[in-house]
Amino acid sequence: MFLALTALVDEPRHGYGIVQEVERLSGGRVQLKIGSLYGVLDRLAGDGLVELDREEVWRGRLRRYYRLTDDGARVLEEEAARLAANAAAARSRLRARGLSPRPAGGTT
Amino acid sequence: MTAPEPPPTEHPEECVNDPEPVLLERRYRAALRLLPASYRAEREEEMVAAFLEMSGDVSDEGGPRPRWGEIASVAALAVRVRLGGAGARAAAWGETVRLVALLGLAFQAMMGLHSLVWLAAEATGYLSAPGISTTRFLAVADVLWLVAFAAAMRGFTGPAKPVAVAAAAVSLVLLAPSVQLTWTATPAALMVSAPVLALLAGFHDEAPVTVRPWRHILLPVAATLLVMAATLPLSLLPWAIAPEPVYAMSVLIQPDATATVACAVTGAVALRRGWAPSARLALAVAATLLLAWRLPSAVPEPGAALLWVPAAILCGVLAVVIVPLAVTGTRLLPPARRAKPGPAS
Repeated sequence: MFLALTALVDEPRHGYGIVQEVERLSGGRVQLKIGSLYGVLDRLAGDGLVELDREEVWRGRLRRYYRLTDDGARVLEEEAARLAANAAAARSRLRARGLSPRPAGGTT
Repeated sequence: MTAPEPPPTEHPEECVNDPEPVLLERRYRAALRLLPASYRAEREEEMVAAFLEMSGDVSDEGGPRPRWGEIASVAALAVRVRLGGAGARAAAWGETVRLVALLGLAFQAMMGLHSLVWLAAEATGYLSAPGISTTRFLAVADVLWLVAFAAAMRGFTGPAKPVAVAAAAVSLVLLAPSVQLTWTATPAALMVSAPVLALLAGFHDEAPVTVRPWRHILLPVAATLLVMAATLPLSLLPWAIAPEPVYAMSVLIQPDATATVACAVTGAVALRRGWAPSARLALAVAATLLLAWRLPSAVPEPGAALLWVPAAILCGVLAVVIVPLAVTGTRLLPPARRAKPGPAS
């Protein structure tokens, strides 16, 4: 969900476009199946976090592009802040334990 | 911002216009038939396009078929859409499955409690019950069923799932040798697995969380204990001299008989008071499971009328309530609504 929303921040994307972007964002770890993708899209659309942007026909096939709504952007922002807080807590405790010899480059 | 996405260039050497992968597409469409027709009407073309784009251009020669992971994801989506996707009808089916899970867990909890009480009575030397053999291993399953039932009823469906799966696994392991794969094994295995499958399918992420009152949890517990207490004098009789009616009674005082009577009475109440279709359908399913469970003991055996007649009467009662519950439940279901992909179009 988090990655799918992130994939729509810069521009509207169609189904396979979201799959590709999620894979890229996760460094190849998350490879969405088509069935899972539409499960996620149904849920996000149901919660009003994404909406249909436009339809196109490419090589004779239907492509529906989805865009992030304002609500979606807000939810993503909150989730990102929560994850960042979790990560920061983990880092600071590791540092206190002396387990983080090289502070990972510049994100804190 | 809204610039069209450049076409994917992963397969430039195969970027020809016409020859679409016919076989792969046909097979993927076949998998999509798992989804409800209303959902397919909205999504099929889009999903096929995304799938084929993901697969690249594949020729028919190697007999390509969608990977199992893709098919599994479509199956999972189908379960999700049918049991709580958009529309009141899917929601009603979802509620039906959840109620089947709770009723099935209640049944297993009653059976578990019964056997735990016996085990305790035997362990303390209070009773010796020929014909009822309980093992310590079975007690593990009994406790797990009780925990799973209480957890699911109180809305802790996340923890209830692994507990119920463990309970079912232990029960199935114990079932295998004890019934020696006779035809009674099938209903027994069904009775163990159906509530767990319903629990896993019905209580998905979007399913509403319902915390049911403690009195609903205590009801089957109290019924089991009361029936046991009321019939304790019977079990204290020396079995060798027990008159035949006592044997007949002992068939009726098992918790599955209590559950059968309770199910039939509740079914009758549901019909009279106009309960929701999901409650009617769930009771119909529960009654059918109980019927299958009871049927093997209701087979006429010459000279053993006192054993099979009560069981046959219970089966008859169940059969009488199942049909009207199923028919009215199905008729009263809300009409199917078309699933919408998104609010804007």
